[in-house]
Amino acid sequence: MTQFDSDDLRGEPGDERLFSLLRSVTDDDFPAMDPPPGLWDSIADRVREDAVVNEPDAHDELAERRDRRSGTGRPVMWLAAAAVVVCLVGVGAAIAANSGPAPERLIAKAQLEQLEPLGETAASARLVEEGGSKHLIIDAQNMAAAPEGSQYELWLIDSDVTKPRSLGVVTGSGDIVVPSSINPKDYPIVDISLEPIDGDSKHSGHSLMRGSLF
Amino acid sequence: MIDPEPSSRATVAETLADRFSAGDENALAEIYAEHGRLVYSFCRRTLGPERAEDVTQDVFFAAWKSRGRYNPASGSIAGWLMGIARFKVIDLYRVEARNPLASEAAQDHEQGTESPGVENTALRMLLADALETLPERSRQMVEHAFLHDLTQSQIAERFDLPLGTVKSDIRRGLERLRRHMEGFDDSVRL
Repeated sequence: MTQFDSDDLRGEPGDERLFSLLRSVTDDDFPAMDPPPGLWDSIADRVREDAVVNEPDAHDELAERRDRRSGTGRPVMWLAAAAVVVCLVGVGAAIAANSGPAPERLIAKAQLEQLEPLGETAASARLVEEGGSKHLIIDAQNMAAAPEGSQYELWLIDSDVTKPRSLGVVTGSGDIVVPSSINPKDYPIVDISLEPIDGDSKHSGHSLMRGSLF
Repeated sequence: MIDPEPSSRATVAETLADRFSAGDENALAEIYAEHGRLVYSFCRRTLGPERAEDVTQDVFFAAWKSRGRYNPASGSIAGWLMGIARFKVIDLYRVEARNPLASEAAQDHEQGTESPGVENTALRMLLADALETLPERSRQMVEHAFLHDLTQSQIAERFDLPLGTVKSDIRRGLERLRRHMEGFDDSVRL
C-alpha cells in the first residue's frame, strides 16, 4: 500500500528517514525502564566533583575570546595562551588533590604534537583516575571536522609503536574511559589518527597528532 | 478551535535548554527528571542492566561537560542526549569487540551490535518517547498514520474531522519530531 504519496502527506526533504523510522516503531520502543533511584545522585556527585577540579570548558571559552581578540593569524601566541591555561588547570588539579577529598587524581599528561601541518589545531591529554577507573581527558582546540568518509580515532600505543589500542572515535575535546584491560603504563603514547570509514578496525597508519604521557 | 499545541510548553523547554547551556545545574536535574528514563531505557536495552547505569551516568555527565556545544536552536535536548548515548554505546561495543576479555559480554546482546542497529534503536526510542509528549490528538493521528498505516482521509473519517485539520495536526506533530531528529544529528561524539 502506498498511502503516503506526496499528495497525501507532504514531507520535507529528508523526511524519508523520519517516516521510515516512525513506521518501524513498535511497542518495545516506548521507554519503560525507570532508572534506579540513586542514579541521579551519582550524576550530581560527579558534576559537583568535576566543578572542584576544573571549570568545564572555561579554557575553551578563554581561548576563543583570546582568539577573537588577536585575530586568527597568530597560532604561536594562541598556542602559548592555551599552554598557560593548561598549566593553570594542572595547578588547579594539584591544589584540589591536596585539599580535602580528591575526586580526580592526575596520573600523567601529554602535549600532542602535529605530525603533519594542521594549522591551529592543538591538543593535550590528561590521564586521570576517578572513581576507580582511568580516564583520558582530551582537550582539543580548532579541530576541523574530519573529511567526508573519514573520522578521527584516539589510540593508546605501546612504546615500541607496535600495538595500538583504540579508545574510539573522537571529534574534539572529550572524556574517554580507558578500559581496564589497557594499562596506560604499557601504552604511554597518545595518538589521534585519521581513519577512513571502511569497516577496518586497525590503525590506518595515518597519525595526525601524537604525544607521550608522563 | 482549540489550539492542540499549547505554546507555553515549547517556551518552557526553550528556557530550560537555555539555562542548561548557560551552566545551571538545576537545569541538568530537570533534564534528567524528564529524559533519564529514555536514556536509561535505551542503555539498558542495548547494554543490559549491569552497564546501563554507568553509561547513563556517562551520558549525562558528558552532556553536562559539553553543554556549551548544545544549541537549542539546532534541535531538542532529548534528541541531543540520545545522540550522545548512541555514540557511548557504539564506542563501548567497539572497544569490547577488540578486547578478548570482554568479547563474550560484547556478544551477549539480543540487539544488533552493528552501529546502524544501535543508531536505529536509539532513534526509534527517541521518537516513541517524543510521541508521548505530543498533544493527545496530534499523537493519535501520527500514530494512526505511521504505526497503523492509515491514510489521512481515513483518519479524518475516524475522528470525524475535516481533512485539513488532520493534516495540520499531523504536520505540527511531525515538526516536533523533526526537532528531535535534528538534536540527535547535532550531537557530538564525546
